Amino acid sequence: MTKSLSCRDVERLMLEGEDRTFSAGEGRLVEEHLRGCARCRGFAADRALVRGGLADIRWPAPPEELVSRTRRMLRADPTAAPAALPPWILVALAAITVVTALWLAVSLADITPGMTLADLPVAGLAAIFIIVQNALMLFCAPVLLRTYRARRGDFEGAR
Amino acid sequence: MTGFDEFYAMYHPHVYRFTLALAGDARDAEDLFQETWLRAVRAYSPVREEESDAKAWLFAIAANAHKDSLRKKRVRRLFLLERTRSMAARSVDADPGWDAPGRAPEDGEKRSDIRACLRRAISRLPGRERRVFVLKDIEGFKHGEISRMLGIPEVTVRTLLHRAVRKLRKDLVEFRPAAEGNPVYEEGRP
Repeated sequence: MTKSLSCRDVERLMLEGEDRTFSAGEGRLVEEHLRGCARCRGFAADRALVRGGLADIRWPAPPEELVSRTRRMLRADPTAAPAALPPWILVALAAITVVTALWLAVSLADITPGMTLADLPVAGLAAIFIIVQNALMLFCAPVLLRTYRARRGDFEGAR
Repeated sequence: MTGFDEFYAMYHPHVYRFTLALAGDARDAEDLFQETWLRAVRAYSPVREEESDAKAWLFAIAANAHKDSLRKKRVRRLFLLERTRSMAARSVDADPGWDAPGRAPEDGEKRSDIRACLRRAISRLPGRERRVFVLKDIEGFKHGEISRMLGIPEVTVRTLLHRAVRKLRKDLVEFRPAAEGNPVYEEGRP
């Protein structure tokens, strides 16, 4: 092996050499290194093996069904944005959110840090229950839904 | 739309091959193929059709879509979908989607094994290394072109390619002629 080039340098040079022509100096350095280094000769041989293997692959044509399905999809106004929700639904959702937030604020206002569960008023307990339940649902719903689909073998949903 | 129809007709086989090589199995490739074309039609301009780098433009879209799909998969892993993943992995092995059927009889068993081994090895590469490797070794782009397509420095392209090639070497050990004395590069050695 030469002192000037490490195996890593030579490997990288060989990869670069696939893209461009070596200068005379580079070519000589690589050749000298390869003469004395079985590991780098192995790298070159493996590189040829990989490239040969890849060149040997006969790639399948895209399935006709996929091609025509995609073409239909592209023709069906692909730039259209998803349908927006009607304004009254947004207003209703906002109203429900505000009412719920107000109710939670009022219910939780009666709770003080020193209280035990037994001391909590019914409204406070209900508020805590609703918060915990919503948090759990937000976290667990995707897991439960996808696990259910996976059990059914529904890969469209699982992938 | 006629312009895009022609564009689609011209390039869809190239995009399918690229997505198949990236995704590793036919089913994921189909999703990636559709996503790529959907993004392409949204960003398409008739001028694009005239450009010589239309294929590179499409491949850059596909590479980005691939990156996004891997990110989504990582999120799903957080949701403990081990069962789904193992089922999906089995389906990949059963349906490689890579080699077209009806190969010539003289196609040797060893060459077929090498192709299968390469397919598995490439699908195990991390996303960034896989994209660089496929663009370089399967699609034949140069380092500079890959750098522009993926929006990463050229030196990073070379590093990722080098890493990918070293990983593939380890998987090809059984196909290496023993008589030649062909040791695998080991990390940390000169």
